[in-house]
Amino acid sequence: MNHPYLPLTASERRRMEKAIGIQNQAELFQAIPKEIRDQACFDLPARTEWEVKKLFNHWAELNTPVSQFVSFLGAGAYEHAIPSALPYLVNRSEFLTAYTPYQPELNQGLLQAFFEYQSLITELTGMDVANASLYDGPTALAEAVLMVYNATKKTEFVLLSGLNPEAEQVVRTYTAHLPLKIHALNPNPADPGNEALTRVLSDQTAAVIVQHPDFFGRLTLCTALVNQIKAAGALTIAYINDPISLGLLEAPGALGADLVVGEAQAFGLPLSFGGPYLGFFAAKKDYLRNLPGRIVGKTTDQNGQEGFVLTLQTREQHIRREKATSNICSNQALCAITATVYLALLGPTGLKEVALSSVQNSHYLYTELTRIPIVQGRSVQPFFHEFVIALPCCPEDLFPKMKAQGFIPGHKLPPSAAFGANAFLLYTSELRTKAEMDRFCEEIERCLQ
Amino acid sequence: MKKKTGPPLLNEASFPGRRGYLPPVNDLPSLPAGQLIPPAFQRQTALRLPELSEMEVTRHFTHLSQRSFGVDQGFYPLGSCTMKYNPKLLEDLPNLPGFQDLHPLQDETCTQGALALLHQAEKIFASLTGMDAFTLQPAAGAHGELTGMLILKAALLDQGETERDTILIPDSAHGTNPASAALAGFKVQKIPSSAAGIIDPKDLKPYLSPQVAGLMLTNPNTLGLFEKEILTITRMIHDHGGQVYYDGANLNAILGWGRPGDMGFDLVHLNLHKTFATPHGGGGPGSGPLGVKAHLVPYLPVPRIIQTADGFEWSADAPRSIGKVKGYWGHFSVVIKALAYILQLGYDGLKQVSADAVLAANYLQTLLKEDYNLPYDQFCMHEFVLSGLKDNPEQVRTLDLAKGLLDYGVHPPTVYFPLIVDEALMIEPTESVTLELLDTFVAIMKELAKLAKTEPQQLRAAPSTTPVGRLDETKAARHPVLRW
Repeated sequence: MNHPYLPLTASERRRMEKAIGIQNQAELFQAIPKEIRDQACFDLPARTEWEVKKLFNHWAELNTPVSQFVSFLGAGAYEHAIPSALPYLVNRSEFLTAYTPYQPELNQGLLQAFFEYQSLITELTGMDVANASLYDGPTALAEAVLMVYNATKKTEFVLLSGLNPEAEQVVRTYTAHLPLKIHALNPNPADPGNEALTRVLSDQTAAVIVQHPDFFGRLTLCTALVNQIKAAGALTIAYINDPISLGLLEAPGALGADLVVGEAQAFGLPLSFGGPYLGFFAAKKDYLRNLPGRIVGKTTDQNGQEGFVLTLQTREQHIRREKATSNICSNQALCAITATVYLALLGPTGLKEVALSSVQNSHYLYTELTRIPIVQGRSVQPFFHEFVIALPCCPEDLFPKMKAQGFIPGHKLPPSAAFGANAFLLYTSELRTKAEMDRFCEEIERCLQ
Repeated sequence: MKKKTGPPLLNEASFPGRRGYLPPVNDLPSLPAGQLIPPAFQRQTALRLPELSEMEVTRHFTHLSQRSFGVDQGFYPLGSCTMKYNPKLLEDLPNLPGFQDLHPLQDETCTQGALALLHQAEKIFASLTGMDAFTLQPAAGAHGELTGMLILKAALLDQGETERDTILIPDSAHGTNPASAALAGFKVQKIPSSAAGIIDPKDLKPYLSPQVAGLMLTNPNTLGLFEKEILTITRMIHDHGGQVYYDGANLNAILGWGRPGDMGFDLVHLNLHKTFATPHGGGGPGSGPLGVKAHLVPYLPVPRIIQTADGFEWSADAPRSIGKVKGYWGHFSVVIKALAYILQLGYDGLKQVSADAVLAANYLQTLLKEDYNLPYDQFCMHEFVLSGLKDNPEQVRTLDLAKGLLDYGVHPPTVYFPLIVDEALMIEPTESVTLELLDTFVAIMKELAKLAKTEPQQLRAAPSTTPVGRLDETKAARHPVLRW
């Protein structure tokens, strides 16, 4: 068989068989027990590149992505503008088709990019050290909980209200077999959690997880809160779901957080139906040798020339096996390069502008929506680029009507004491314009009448 | 000042006032940040990000890419990593707006194409491996392992068999196996490989204590040898009340020739970035779908895709599920690529993939064993492990040989793994080779063997043609410098 991905020709195969001393390739599979060998044939025809393209085009066209709407859907995955230069650079095949840089002399470029990524993450979060990425925000948070548990041996964790439900679920899955007690505080728009927190904090509290801005858009992390956690002898883990916010918000490290982990999809990664995204993990230097995942460090070669290597590998699975700090082997290397390119292109000014624009939009839209008499605002200041409103009717009725008008109004929230029965979460990126938001308000008003 | 040949770090190249991108400007009456964000939350710490023009950013990352080495740059016989060619078609497909701009929380009326595609991928993975159902949530091979171990833990808890707390793992296994088992709360018991490099059922028997929950196995194993007693091994574990986990790292050896499900495995993970040609990206993103037999289906992560009369939908109705192991549904765009690769080759093509991968490995093994020690001298599968040089009066080490290869533009094999082979060189050519390439590699390896006798110092000083020489890893670990 000749196929573009199978370069060997029949004559080459024959020469190789001869060199090995076999008659045909099937002889090489004799170790597979006869009763199961070659038993599983199923109908799967080969297709040409053109046929495969057509099939995937068909599947793609069956979807209606957010780009075909004016979308206010965020809730953990954020539509942002992606600079044109970015995919060209990230998808250069030297990056794309490389393995983890086990041979540093051949891969100084990759290693330098990861070193730059670590530097940018520490700079944004105000932490001392960062690893070279984890799978996504939720798994990064789960790794943080495991790391703190292993480092402190304390068994109680508090999830402050407003943690992305995806992250909470993953934390619970990762820790289900451990003797941990996880207190999840209920959302309360009037209290970002501090009173409820006082009741659950104890000397067994290992850490409090604070999403900032939280799932509902509220700003939560401040010195007073961190001091309250610290006074109880617990650590503060800040969870950041859109680190573009750090263009405007104080670095969590400067507010006293001990670990800052999160989801950096917003740094140039497309929505892609949920992945791949980018988990980041940063900590104070005390936790340097407890960190999960790959870490790149600077060193020198035998001529004194600077270079980069994977380092602190004695934490890792290929050396420590069952005693490793984590089982990470693959990470999100290319996504980390994406974030690095994104931040290099935006710079401090661009990042602040994107953040500010998103926040200006959210405040404008919140004000305009809550002018509509039957729309109830469920957010209080201060919020970032997301907020909650409630309707007199079920969003299930409104959403299809709005969709027909070209809008995705947001993310429906389950009924809760805090937000009522008919609440939904809206997100405004820097892409939204005044005209779009005005038209959205008009349509909502019309649909509700 | 230390010498440096590479591009400066981004922060060193920064110049105040330069910009690489202008974001969309909104047309609202401008409200200052101070009115929107209370002072307690505002950034006071300076935001020291680099400031560069688009051209500078482009040159910077182009320069970095030129100091990197992927499959597109040259031969990459890195054992256990399956560094096969990554077809270019695969890069086009995830960029279709219908995929790329799809939000994970859009309602199912907007995502029928994506769900159909994922459902199709689950079905094909199940057919290829002989399993009953798959989850696409795991983000990488090790993540698939963790998911499998958490499922096993949940099933044991369900059956009240909590005394089963130990996973058996051969001494030749990847480090992720023991790390994943431990992460899920299991103890790890190492099983010795026999003199023939595989598991001998006789050696396994003494380890079958009441505590055993299961066995993790890579087949073919990391020596590139097929566990030919596999049917006996899986039966023994099952008779003992345990489950058997298949590490799919080496599936590229047996596509279409033998299915893990038929061998008796209860759980299987795939490495889409190995077997199914999705690019490794310098270390990720990968994708590690996990397949299980019917009795473990209730424990799979939620939500699951189900097909109804009206199309596809998500279902979280699985009370015994372990929950979610990852945000959303997995590495969607990686699954797209893997599925496209599979569909392009078809069943016969995939079978030929393994046939060629195994043929190439055996060809290299036959020619290289003249100069290098081959501790397990038999037909190999898709990879084989050498143990240093045969005739080695100067005691040149595997590390020196690996660094020597760099000067010939070849990425070295995996070295010093598996741990049970001294001075190991683990070689996996994959099916993406021509005979000329294999012969060139053999010639280089023979030349290195000669150099080891005539010019050992040259090898010990290698590499000499790369941008930097051998780097001081001890210094990096003792005095960590991890940021600018």
